[in-house]
Amino acid sequence: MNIPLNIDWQQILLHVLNFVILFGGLYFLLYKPVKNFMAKREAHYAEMAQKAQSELDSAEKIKADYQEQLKSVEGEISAKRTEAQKELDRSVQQQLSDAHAQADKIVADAQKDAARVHDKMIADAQKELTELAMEATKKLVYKDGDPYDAFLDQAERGEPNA
Amino acid sequence: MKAKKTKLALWICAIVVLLVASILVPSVQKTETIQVTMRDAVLHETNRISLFGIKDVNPALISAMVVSGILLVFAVIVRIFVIPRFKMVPGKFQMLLEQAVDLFDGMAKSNSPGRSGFLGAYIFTAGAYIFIGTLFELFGIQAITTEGSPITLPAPLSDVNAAIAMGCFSYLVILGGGIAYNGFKGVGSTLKEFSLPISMSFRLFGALLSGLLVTELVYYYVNLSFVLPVIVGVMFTLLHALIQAYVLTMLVALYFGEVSEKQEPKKKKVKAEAEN
Repeated sequence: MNIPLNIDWQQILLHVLNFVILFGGLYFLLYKPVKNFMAKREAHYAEMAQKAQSELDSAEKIKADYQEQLKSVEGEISAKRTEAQKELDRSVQQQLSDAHAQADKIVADAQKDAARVHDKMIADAQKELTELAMEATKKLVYKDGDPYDAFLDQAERGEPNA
Repeated sequence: MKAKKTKLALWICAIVVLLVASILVPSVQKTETIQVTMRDAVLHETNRISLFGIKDVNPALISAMVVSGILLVFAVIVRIFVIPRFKMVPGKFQMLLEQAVDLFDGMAKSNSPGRSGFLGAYIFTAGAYIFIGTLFELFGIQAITTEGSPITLPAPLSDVNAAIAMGCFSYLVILGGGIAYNGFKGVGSTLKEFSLPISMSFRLFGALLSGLLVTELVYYYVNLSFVLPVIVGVMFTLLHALIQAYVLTMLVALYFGEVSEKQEPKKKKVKAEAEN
């Protein structure tokens, strides 16, 4: 049978054979080794990326821990500050109340002292007044000598006013 | 500056002398007319080459074997001397190889995800064969025909037998993919595209043959052999090489992906719809 275009089945098969040999050769010599190398490199970089990611994760965790610790320290500081403030307030209050008590005591003592001095002064004044009164009375009485003597004298003289 | 001018003058003189000489010196008497040359380029009835003394074959078969030989020697050299020295940060040549492999691997993966191993290797080989085979005609390697006259080896795929072999083998690969992943349904969906081997074969043949005919035409006439071959030969051949390699590999990847795609059973769909 005369096939148009001079098609030759034997030559077609030879072309296919040639191509199949080329396919096998290129696959084993070039395509597969290059692809394997690329896959190996991809795996290598993927592993590196994974390692970096895990390190990043652990660093993030450490950071979070530190931040947590920092937060708790801040809370602790705040609590201690509050406590110190309370202590200070309490101390100030105590000192104030002590000062008030001391002042009250001083005032009371002063008042007591003042009262005592006052009493003493009054007593002294009374005593002095008594003495002065007695002195004055004495002076009045004994202006003309001893009245008793005068009485006795008058009585001796027989005067009615005696 | 003066030395440059002298070199330029010498170069122009050489061009003029060679041009005049090539026009004045009588060429060998044409043994065949342009019609015969063109007809032979298509049908290969006259110029045949003996295949190791076993059989007379078309020159394109010898070209195909030479191209395969070149590619295999290149692959062996790369495998022995280059691949063991591959680095994590690639150099220029390593980058080129990786890009070539990655291009076809990516094409296979995007068209047939999950079943791209064989497909990637096949389209890599087909792409390399078509690209280098098309560029092969640029080198003008000579062979002796059975009649004793010299002939320039053409691009392998400019022979209809090579194009049919490539197209049909690609179709068989697609069919194989369909059977391997979808069984009988894969066969059905592949056979549905029954025109594919013919279209792929004759697309390759037509594209490569047109290039060959233009080249034959240009070189047949001495007057067309100045300057024009630079554009016709180099530019067109490069474009052919790229376009044909891309078209065939893309088509194979596309159809392979289509027939090897897992198809949902229709009954289940109906059931699911009914349940909804």
